[in-house]
Amino acid sequence: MKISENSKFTAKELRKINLRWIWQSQIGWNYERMQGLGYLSTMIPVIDRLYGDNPELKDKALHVHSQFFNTQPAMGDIIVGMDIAIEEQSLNEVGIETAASVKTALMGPFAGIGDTIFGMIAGAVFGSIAASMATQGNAIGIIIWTIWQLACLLFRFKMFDLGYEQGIKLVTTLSGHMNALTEAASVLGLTVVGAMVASMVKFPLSTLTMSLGTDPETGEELINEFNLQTYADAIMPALFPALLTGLCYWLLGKKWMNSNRLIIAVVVAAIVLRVIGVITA
Amino acid sequence: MSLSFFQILIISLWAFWGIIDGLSWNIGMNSCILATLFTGIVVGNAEYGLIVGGTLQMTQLGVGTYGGASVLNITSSGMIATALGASTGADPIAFASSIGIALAALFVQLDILARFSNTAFQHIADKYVESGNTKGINLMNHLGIIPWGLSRGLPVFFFLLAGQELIDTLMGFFPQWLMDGFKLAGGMLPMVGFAILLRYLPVTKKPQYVILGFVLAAYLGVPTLGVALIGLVAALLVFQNAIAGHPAAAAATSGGDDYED
Repeated sequence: MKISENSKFTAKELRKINLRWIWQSQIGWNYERMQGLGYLSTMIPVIDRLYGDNPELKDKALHVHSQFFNTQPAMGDIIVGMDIAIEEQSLNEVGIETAASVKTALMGPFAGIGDTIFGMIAGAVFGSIAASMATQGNAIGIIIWTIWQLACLLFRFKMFDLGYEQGIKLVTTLSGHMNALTEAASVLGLTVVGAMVASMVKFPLSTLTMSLGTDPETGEELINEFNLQTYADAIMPALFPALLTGLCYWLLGKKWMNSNRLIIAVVVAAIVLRVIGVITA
Repeated sequence: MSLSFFQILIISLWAFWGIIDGLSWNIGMNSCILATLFTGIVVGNAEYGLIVGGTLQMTQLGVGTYGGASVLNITSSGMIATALGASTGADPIAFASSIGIALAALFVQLDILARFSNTAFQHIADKYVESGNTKGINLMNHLGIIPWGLSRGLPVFFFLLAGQELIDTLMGFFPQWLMDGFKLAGGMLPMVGFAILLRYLPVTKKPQYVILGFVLAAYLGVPTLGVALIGLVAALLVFQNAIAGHPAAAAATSGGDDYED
């Protein structure tokens, strides 16, 4: 990490504050301030160092940093780094207020980017691989996912350094990059989801048997078999998984539908379809 | 075979600490499959844990607690389903998609309760802000560990301690067609996870990538990791194009090179 000349902290101290954020940001999460308590608690060593000899500024900083805050925790590393850089350069009321407005301005967009990249895309890609392997009794997938999570943890140091070293100017330079990254990540996510629908959604259609009466010559019963799965596959492999996922997608767009209701609906539908014999276990 | 007290305790402790890890370091203890694998190892049937965890994980791919929303707690319910199911010999997929899903939905309430309980510590911390007591603020933040941990540890402990007979009785009532239905539901439920993900992803703007992935898997039978790599190629192309067409971002790239020196 590159430390500015008039910094009030050593590299080691800054890393400690970084680690404080990683550890404390969400353990005190509550509906009223969300990560606000975690942020305030993280900033205590900073507040003590910068404003320890100025009770007025200390009081101001404590109040400002106890406000509502919520973002994706890894993206929060950047914000904490920026905040420290801003406040230690100013050491006055204006610095605290600037830091406060940077926090407020960035937490929303950063949460959007972070949730997409670290939450949805990573969860979809690594989660699908881990889940499909696990259902076959294979632990390799979950090990890969865990390694990814460890890598993310290490990457958070880099994010903090980025925020601290670049300070406010990062906001403008980062925006183009971040949008490109989010867009690219969603392309990866879309591709993997497309494949997963085909390989992981199981909808095994039954073979229907129909009696055509008895053969007048031999007296044997004539049975006509309709292998529904063969018919469906002839149109397109994984036809029903694709159609049903589309149906779920559509249903989720309805105001009265949510994911938990949809799960219950699918369980009920599976039981009904099993009972009437459309699908077989 | 019933669980020993030590087994119950160690599984409950993982559940307690798992959520704390998920909130902080996030090295995976709170991920459903790792937790059920651990539970499986403790009860002597790792494969059972993997299948239960995998089945439940499929319903929640990429689903997270964005913005503090509560989601199905498949980690706690998966640990319970693994520990109790492995000893009763129930079909893991059917067991996960019946008991596993039902308990996961029930435990959402405990997540809400924990997030709500911490508001009390927030209020005490607010008083410490007035008096400038930084040690007190720090303590209040850490006290949040208790509601968070208990919201996962307690239900796991309770169900493992008392749940064995309860679940035995329950399973005795389930006829074969119902268990078959649950097993089939286990195979269908991943589509809910995918549909949720597609709701978050720009599927209407870029449907071609969903089709690409689908064709690779359905027609060509490319394994998941292979599809992910092809998806990565597409992602890199999109990224490079976006950077090239974005002057500000391009400037940032060259600036970034300087900063690396």
